[in-house]
Amino acid sequence: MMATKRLGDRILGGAMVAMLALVLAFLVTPLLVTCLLAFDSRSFLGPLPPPALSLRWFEKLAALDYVATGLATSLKIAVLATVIDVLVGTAAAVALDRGDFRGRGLLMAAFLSPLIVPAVVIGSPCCCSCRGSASSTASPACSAAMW
Amino acid sequence: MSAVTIVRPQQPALPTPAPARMSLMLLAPGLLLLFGVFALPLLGLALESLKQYVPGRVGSAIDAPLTLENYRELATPSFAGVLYETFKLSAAASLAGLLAAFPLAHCIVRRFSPRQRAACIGLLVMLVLLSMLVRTYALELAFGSVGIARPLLLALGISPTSRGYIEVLVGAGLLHAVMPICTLTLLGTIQNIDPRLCDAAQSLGAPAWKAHLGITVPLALPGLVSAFLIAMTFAISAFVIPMVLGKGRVLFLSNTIYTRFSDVANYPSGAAVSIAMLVISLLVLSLASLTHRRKGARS
Repeated sequence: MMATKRLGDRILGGAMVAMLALVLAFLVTPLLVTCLLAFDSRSFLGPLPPPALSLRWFEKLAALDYVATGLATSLKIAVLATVIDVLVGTAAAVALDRGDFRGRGLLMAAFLSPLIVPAVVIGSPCCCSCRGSASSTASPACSAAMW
Repeated sequence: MSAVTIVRPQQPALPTPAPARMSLMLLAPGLLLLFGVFALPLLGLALESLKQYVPGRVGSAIDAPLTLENYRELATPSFAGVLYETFKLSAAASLAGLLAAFPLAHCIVRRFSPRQRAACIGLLVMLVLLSMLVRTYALELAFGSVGIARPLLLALGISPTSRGYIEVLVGAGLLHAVMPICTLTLLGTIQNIDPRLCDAAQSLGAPAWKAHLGITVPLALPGLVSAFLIAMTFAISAFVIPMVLGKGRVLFLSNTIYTRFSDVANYPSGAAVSIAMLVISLLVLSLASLTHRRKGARS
């Protein structure tokens, strides 16, 4: 009786370990495949592993102007949004945490509400001012982080 | 007779509350920003969703008459199909994510050495922070119709461009996104469960699986429910995953919103779908907070 129970536990435990290994493999494999393909010397998607490794795709990337422009735009907007949000969000977080006034719960909910609203919903109406949508999503995040 | 001393726990010094006027000054910029870039666009969206749309225009006319026509379209079968697809795949991915995340979280908390734990949590956090676009294209490269799994799929007799496989692929994409979130959410839940309860059950003769099903799972139930609902809201509002992996054959609500705004330029209809989606997210999240409150009431 006891022996069969422990045997069952061992089998189930083994199955669990196998499942966890599968789960981790599922999470990591796509990233590894992508990294490997980035160094592929072929000009088409072929079977793995690639016959030879090269840096040609990275050279191509460096030669493209618009990648650099895009990177600069991303950085500019990210830095701007982050600076605004950290300043504004920190001030709001201090007030919400230390302040003693009515409607604190309501205000807190108001500040955290952009986290709930799907990005597409908030992004579509202010697609002309993307900076706005970025900062509106980040500001609750940093006021939440201040707790 | 010995004197009994009562040890009182030391109260932490409470910070002195700031005066109301100062709080207001600190809150003002945040409120202004919140109003300007969040509340105002949402109000505009709600207003736009009530306007009449004349085909061929970009957006609605300024003096367009108000109508509920845009919402009536949400009851059509084609829209119901999109809604059904969104919910079906989101629920399946969230459930599968939960089933995989629970043992993983348990293993991280109870079995792993501190170093393994740190490595695993680091991997999960990295996955959450990694750009959604990068992850989605990585999945496409690995399991997509031209990916490296193609020979394997063909050998198994699965067509990589069939609708069924594409649905599975979108589900896998959602699963890939949702699993780290679920696992990280469940870490705290499992950490709070007393491991001695399970040990006690086993020392009384219960097999490990029975002890887990009878003790660990019921105790973790509130955490499981909220992890599921968090995953669900995330999956419902996913945009990049169905767009890239679904290749236009699997449409989610968010993709419908996007095409209404960008391709068809029917802003009122897009706004109506957006409002519908917002209501759905709010419903799912209010369910989550309801379970939280019930958990709080019980303990």
